[in-house]
Amino acid sequence: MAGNHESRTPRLRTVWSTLLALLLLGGMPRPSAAADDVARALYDAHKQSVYRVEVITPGTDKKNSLGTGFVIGRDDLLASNFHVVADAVHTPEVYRLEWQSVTGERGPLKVIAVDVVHDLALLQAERPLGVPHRIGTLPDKGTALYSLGHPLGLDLAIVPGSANGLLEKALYDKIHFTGNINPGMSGGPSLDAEGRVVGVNVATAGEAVGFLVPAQYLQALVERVAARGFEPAADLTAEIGGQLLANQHELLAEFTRGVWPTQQLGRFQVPGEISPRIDCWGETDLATEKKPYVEIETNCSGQDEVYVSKRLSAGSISYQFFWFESDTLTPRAFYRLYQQRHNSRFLSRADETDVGNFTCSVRFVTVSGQSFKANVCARPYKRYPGLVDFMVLLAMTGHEREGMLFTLDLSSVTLDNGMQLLQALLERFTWQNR
Amino acid sequence: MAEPLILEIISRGRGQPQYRRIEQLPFRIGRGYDNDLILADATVSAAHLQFEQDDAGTVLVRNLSNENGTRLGKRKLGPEAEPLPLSASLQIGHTVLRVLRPDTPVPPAIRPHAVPGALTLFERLPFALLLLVLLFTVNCALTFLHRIGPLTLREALFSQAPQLLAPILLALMTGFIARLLLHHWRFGLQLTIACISFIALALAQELVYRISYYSSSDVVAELSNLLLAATVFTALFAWQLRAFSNLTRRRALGVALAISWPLLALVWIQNEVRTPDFIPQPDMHLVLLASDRRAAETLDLPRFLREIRDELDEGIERELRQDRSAPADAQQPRTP
Repeated sequence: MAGNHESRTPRLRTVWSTLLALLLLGGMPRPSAAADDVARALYDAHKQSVYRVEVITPGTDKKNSLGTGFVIGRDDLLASNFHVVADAVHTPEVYRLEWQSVTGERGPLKVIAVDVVHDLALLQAERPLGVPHRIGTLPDKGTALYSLGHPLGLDLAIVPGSANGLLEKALYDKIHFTGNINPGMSGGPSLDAEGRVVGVNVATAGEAVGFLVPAQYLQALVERVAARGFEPAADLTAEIGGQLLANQHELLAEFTRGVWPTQQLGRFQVPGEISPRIDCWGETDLATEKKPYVEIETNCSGQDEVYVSKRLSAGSISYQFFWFESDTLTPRAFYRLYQQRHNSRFLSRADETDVGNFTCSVRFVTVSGQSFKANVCARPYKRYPGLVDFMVLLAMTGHEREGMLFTLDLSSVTLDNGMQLLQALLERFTWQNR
Repeated sequence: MAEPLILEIISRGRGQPQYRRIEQLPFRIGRGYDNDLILADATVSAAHLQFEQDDAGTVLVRNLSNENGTRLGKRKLGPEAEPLPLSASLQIGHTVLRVLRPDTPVPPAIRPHAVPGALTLFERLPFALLLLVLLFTVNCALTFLHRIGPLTLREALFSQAPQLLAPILLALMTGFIARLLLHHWRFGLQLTIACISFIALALAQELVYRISYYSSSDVVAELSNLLLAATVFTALFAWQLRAFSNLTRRRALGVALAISWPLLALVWIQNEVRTPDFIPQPDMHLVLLASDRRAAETLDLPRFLREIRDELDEGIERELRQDRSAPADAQQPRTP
């Protein structure tokens, strides 16, 4: 059970082994004739300023992954996704970056700034690459958009689609793009009919459901870099750490500021969605002869996380409540089943280069008059000082045939913020006598 | 020669010494067939040693062996005859000799604790069967307590019946070993030991579970588990050894200790060594019990938050310190 960190928006990273399999799926809808003309004009106007961004490994001088980039801000700067260039940021001694134009020219690239939270990166080339794109504003629902990129690493393609506003439940703003975005198009621009960039291709959920980073964040990044004279960042790792830190402060402050709805869970009243950006799902299993206990479950999570590296995702939040209740089981039998459910796993692929080991603290605590056994654990991030992964597992004790579990999983928060959110959540538990 | 002397012969590989009366001196010992005492020890010379008497009547010892020689106590004897202190030990080859007076007192006889082959209560089959019934009853009762759906007595009995086979099979196996070693099945005793082992196992599990919940710590539970297992296992193993052989209680216990404790130490060390440096999941304390008895007090929310905050701060600091003390090059991937 516990932390549902799985993102519903898998990243657009090209994995060559899947290329063939995906190619076989074939079939794209045929665009209408009018859109055809606009698309043709846009393609012709922009093909010279959209590039393939390749991550090269020096061992073979072959590409390891790729994405798309486009000229922005100055004629030698490319914008792309952070997740496209993340390997080169974290291990520059292993991976280097190269641009490749539609005509096949190549050249080296250097990362000069990143916005890890919104998955953006600015790359600098050693020579001018074309005319910088203009940046547009948030498009209305239904606006026709044209997305450029290298789907699955193929030649530059233009994909028509439409904007469908910002996602309601995302922790980090994203435009819902209805159109076929595929791996390899990451970092490519989505243009309106006038050729202004309104978003950067970032993720897909399949079946013509795609996501774009709103152009305002790209604008902000370009302005920030322009303010320091387009100088490369001194220490990208420190910059990423600072951005993650600022992001979790902002996010958790927003959570604790809001008024939380409550939800009923057995004999407890507990917090529901602590932010409109959080989504809750519920399930009730009634008692059957084979499973003679009632189980009620609520699962709340932010449907989004920050890509830091292949192994590390940051900024995810989830909390769950489980209520168990039985009329027929003996206390021993009930606790046997209750104990089987008393566990929680932290969903993460981080390894020892990213994080330290968890350290846990076990205590019994009274919450709204009921006694809980509490496991609270945290592990530090090694590259980003001050950040920890935080996880909590509480189990109600002292009732013979009733049990309640509560889990809270937060990735990359400060311990202070984690504890504050835990306190705020626990303070809103209310026991109701029957 | 006024009175005969007694010669004690301790040969290697033999449990008990042999005795010989020396009626007349000189008395020669060796491997050759013309000696007064013929030893089969291959490290003994053909003529190795001789006891003599001088004119004053003193008993002398003379080394005749040029090959391996003779040791009196820790000292090697020369070619001359020397006076022989009584009850001093002489070593020739692998054999140890002692010369004693016939009036040397012997320690009083000890009472045997158990005469091998005699049947005590534990060794009787009815007692073993009683234990088997007890084990079965306990298992059935637990099944009934843990029942999830409606459970009839008949179902409980039937579900636990196969469990009875385990102690019976174990007893058959150990009994067969006893049959090989002692030519005696002793099935009653084997079944008793097997049943007690299974009952001890069930009790130990319950106990360790309770200890773990009581102290909210797996470390305490693991330690008590290890000590408990070691003690019970040693006792049962010693008992089983005695059932297999004619060993005395003390020796059986010694052997059991010497085998089981180093084995447990090995298991413990292996566990320590094999624990990976990086564990992706937290090590939470997950035991929950209906009988909610515990050593830790229940805290109010502010104190709870304060205490876990302090403990986590400390733990994180420790983790980071360990990371800093780790060799720096281990952190960096190597550039090809």
